[in-house]
Amino acid sequence: MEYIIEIRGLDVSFDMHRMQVAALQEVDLDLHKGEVLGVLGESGSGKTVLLTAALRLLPENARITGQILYCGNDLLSMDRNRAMRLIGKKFSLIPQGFGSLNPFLKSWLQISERPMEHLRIGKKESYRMAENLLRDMGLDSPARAANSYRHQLSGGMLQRVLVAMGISGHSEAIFVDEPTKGLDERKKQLVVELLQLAKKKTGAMMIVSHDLAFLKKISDRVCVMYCGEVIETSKARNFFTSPKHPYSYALLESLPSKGLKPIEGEIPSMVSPPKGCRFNPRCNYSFRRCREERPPLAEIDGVMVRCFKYV
Amino acid sequence: MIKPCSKVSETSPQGFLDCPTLLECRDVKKRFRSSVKGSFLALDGVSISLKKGELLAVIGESGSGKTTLAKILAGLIGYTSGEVFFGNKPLAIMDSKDMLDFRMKVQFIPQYPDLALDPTWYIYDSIAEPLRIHRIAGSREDELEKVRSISSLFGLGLDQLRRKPRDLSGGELQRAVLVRSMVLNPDVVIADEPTSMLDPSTQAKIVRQLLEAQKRNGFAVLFVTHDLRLAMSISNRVCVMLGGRIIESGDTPKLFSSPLHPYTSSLLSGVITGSEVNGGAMCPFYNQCNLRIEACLVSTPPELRIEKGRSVRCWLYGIHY
Repeated sequence: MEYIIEIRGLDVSFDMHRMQVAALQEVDLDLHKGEVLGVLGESGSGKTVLLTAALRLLPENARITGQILYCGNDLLSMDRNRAMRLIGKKFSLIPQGFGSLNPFLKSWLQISERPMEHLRIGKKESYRMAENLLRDMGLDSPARAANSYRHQLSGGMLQRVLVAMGISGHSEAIFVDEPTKGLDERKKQLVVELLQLAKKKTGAMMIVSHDLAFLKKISDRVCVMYCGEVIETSKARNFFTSPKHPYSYALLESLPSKGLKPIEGEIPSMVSPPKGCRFNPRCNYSFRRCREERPPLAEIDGVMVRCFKYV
Repeated sequence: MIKPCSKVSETSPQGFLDCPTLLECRDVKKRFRSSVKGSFLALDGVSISLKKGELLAVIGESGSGKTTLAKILAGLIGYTSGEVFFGNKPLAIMDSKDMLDFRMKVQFIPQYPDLALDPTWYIYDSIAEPLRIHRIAGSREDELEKVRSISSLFGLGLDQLRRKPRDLSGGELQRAVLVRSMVLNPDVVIADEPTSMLDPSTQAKIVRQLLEAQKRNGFAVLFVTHDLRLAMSISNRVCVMLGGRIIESGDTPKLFSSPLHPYTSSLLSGVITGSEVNGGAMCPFYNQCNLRIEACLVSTPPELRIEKGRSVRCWLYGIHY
């Protein structure tokens, strides 16, 4: 298996006023070539922190240890400028929502900003590239869309602009942040189609989302995060039919189609997470060991799962 | 096709058709005018009635007019023509006393709680505000007692009430807005996509709490959503909106098992192809419809009553012209 990104023992915590908030703890995760990896979890589980850490976009007050390897180079220990150049060349981000589009930039400039900056592609060529991308995505008049500002485009067109931002300039990995938040079924279908097109044009994709139905449609592999930890990584096929971790099971059960059964209790505070397994206060299967020791990530039938039930 | 799923709300849908009507609108139109885009007809002759104790879901895609309808029914925005009735009184000519009663009895739950709550106020004050406006609580102690008892029913403790919106999670904020709408013990709750921004587990929790409160207090709910599965599992009746019109309505089990309108069928099967622009046709689904006939192009399909409580706006079920 060829890796694009290997995350090894990544810990991230934030210095708040008088306390430390642990956002990620010992995260081990790989992004394979040619796959779509879905990162799943409730709000506050650390999904977005993982994504921003991989792009080295975390704020100043973040304390990071561990490694994020790209072709054997550690992006975290590297000199910041060199890392940013490498990240800019090789990775791209499809941000969440249209709010991230600059209202003062025409959409072609928005799409080709990264290639112009990092790959030194000229203005004219960039424009042609943006127009071609928009045409590939099924727009009838790409030139008009390319020359429009944010407020002049419809929701569907903006969605295409966002995805075009991700695939412009042949990136090796695309990071996608909550692409379907608040969208209706038709727009979700469009996002699925656009991302499938994006998958063909790129090396690999990592999608952060809490939309289970959407991830089921698009991802090859699913990684479940809870309270800053990776608790299960498995093939999407197996995950949606037979999840291993009690939390994954409960999450799937909370869907309207399964009868809207909420998970009891609240997401624990990141300032003082529970001892032992972080899910133990809400878990129906927990026993004494879960409250005392932190379970290791172990492999069961090709699924990596962090639960004493399987150890 | 959406698979049948376990029902969360229990009451039989048949009972509601004969219940008294609480909130009703007849042939309501709403036109928005803007200097950039010109005028836009967001609602085009919508009639809807909300019966006592029922949960009516309004489903539709973005831009179909769901939120506009919800806001008009809640009295938050005006309408261009038509009539809205609360009880049997028309909203347009209500005197201030009746209006105050309407504001008390009809509550609105917005889609974005973080925008709906004042960022500089404590959650407690936001929740207590309706009590103060309507002078319900006699004293501060009385008010505190009331807010505390209702908040605890929805799992909000004093700890959360003492904070400001920025210090709460999305689920807690949505719960705070829910509590705020419940403090006046309303007859009607209009929920505008209250869970579309939340993750599945939090969504399940909030919806459960709303349903439990409905069971306790017996209010009617108008639940606006684009999540078909959610609508299917909680509602008693459903209205489907498209292009500012209600194109089909009926009991939830019937509508989901045998949809009449081609749009509803394709919405349920998840396959909609073709352009959203209707190109001047009188039916908003004309360009994407496989069963279109000439009549759809030239005249607006009327609302046809198929049976009691079931109606559809499609020429396939009526005489042409």
